[in-house]
Amino acid sequence: MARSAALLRLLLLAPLAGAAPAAFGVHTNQAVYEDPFDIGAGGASLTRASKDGRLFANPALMPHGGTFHKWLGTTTTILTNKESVDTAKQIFNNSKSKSSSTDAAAGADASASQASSLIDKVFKDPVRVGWGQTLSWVTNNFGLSVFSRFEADIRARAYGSTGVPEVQFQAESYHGVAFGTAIRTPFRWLSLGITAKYLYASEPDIKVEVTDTDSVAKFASPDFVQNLKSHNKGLGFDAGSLIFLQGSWVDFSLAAKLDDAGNTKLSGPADSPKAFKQVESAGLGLTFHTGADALHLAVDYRDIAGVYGEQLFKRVYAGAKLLLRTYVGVSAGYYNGYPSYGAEIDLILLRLSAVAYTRELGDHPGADPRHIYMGTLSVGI
Amino acid sequence: MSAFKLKCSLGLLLAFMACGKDNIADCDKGVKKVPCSKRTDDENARIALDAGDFETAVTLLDAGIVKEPEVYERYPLAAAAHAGRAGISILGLARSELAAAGSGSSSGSGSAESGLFGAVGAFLPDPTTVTAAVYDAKIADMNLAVVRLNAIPAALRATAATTYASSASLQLSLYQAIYSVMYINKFAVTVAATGSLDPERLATMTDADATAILGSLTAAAEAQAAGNPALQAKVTDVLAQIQSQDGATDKEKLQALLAKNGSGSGSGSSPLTLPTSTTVPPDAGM
Repeated sequence: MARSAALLRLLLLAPLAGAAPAAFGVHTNQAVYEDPFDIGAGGASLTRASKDGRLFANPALMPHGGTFHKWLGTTTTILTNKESVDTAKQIFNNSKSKSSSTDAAAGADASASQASSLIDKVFKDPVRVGWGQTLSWVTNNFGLSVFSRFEADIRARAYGSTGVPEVQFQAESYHGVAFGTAIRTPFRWLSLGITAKYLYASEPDIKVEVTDTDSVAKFASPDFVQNLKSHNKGLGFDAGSLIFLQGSWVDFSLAAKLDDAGNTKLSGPADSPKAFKQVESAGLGLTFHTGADALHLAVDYRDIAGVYGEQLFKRVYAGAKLLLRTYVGVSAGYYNGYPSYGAEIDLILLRLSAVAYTRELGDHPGADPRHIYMGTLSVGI
Repeated sequence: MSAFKLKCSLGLLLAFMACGKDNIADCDKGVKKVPCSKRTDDENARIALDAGDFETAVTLLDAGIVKEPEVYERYPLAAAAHAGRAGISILGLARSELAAAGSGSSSGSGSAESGLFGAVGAFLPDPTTVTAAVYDAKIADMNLAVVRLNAIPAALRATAATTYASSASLQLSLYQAIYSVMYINKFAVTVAATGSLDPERLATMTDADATAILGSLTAAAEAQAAGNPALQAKVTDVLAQIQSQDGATDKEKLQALLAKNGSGSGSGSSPLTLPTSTTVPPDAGM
């Protein structure tokens, strides 16, 4: 138990470390905030986004949808990866079997064995947890959102990047305020929008070799905790346009989006990010609908110029949303090339949604994927 | 919307959902009509290491070294892959060290007998459980691990500017010692019936074997301070013990030390605590 306690202590301390500078930014072609139900639809949101997701996905979406008032409320999201759930289950089962064991010696042996297998699992499977929060008001012509999103990723490997056991801690911490406005002009089928966002961002990326006692010793230093808490700040602008051709049963939409126009510079004490690059994207949407039901098919091609140097599968987002009587929605698609699924229930003032998707943190399929479960509670109207 | 259209819609949606869990751009498991994105050999090597597939990792990393010999980041990984194939678990060693730290018996730099390096013996392959050819292959892998690390220019191993310097130095001193001990263990096998070393096995040691063992121990002792001072102190002590034995050649001195420790009549501290740790029945062979 002593060895497992020591190792788990190290893993728990890893997030507090700041031993190495950030290697690279995590943010790429994705918006700093995405509505979970839209992620379930493969993240293809340029031509149709949910609730306050419009403000971030494409502000030109705001004038569409009939009513002046679109959404006023708050959304809370929590997420974790499949492997974390499996590990939590194992811990739970271990504690259950321990409490039911009557033979002290056998119990001690079983406990040591369980601890050992748990450590093996921790060094095999990554842990990812996160949460998000928005408070927003979105109308036909403007939207305002205060948002906060944090995702932490802890990856322990028996063979790290330099060949010795390593714990890597990465996080995406984005917070801020976004204000968007949009108009339909000069034609009803064309809308233009712009979003201004004040960002507070940090992307720590820390690798610590377990065998490097000097690095491990630095965990306790208050400087490292301070370093982790540091965020950079900056003001950025997004612009979007939407061509929306409406028919009795079928709608066609074409979107263009400019994220972080002229590059969003971020300054402050954090090692990363220092800037979000300007990204151009385009989207295509097709909606089959009646008065109450709709099936929306969409594909987004983001970062057309490839400024982040990502592979095609990480730049193409495609999916479908099926909305029934505005009360129930299901979505499916391909996010980072992996299947994604989502479901949403609208109970007038409460909206519940669940999403499963996979995010590829590596450069190629299967290099470093995270299978993520996400649950969302929205309160608003 | 008619029921027919609704069913069509659901059908389309389900068609999306029925497409499994693999990435559509995966070159092996993806959708054929989608442009595939091929993982690099380095990524595949990392995946193989994570899965404990050392054979694949060694093949990919060694090929990468041949192709791009100046990319030194690959060398420590290749060394770890060779050591893994030889049966050495660095994580196991690290866990042992952490266990010592957690139980309050931290090795520190002043205690060579406990902690990470004192526990090395528990993680070495046992020559009595495999054939001679397999054991020789493991020794060869450890040698290759050392060779890979020695191929990194010493200046790059010594500077904090390279991300792999600390790992390379640690692995080098560790693998040099492990290589020596594995080599020694090849000849130092205790016979259960007598409780002493198998003299026939000990007699198979050649001058070349002794030279290789002593050369590796000397290199481990002379490794830079970034390696591990505790290990180096222990190795230096072992070398001194060997040199203090009676004998005209290195082989004879080494055999004398092993024989002493094996019969329990020696100094009482076996070299790196390992050579007499393996036992075979009297009639067992390699």
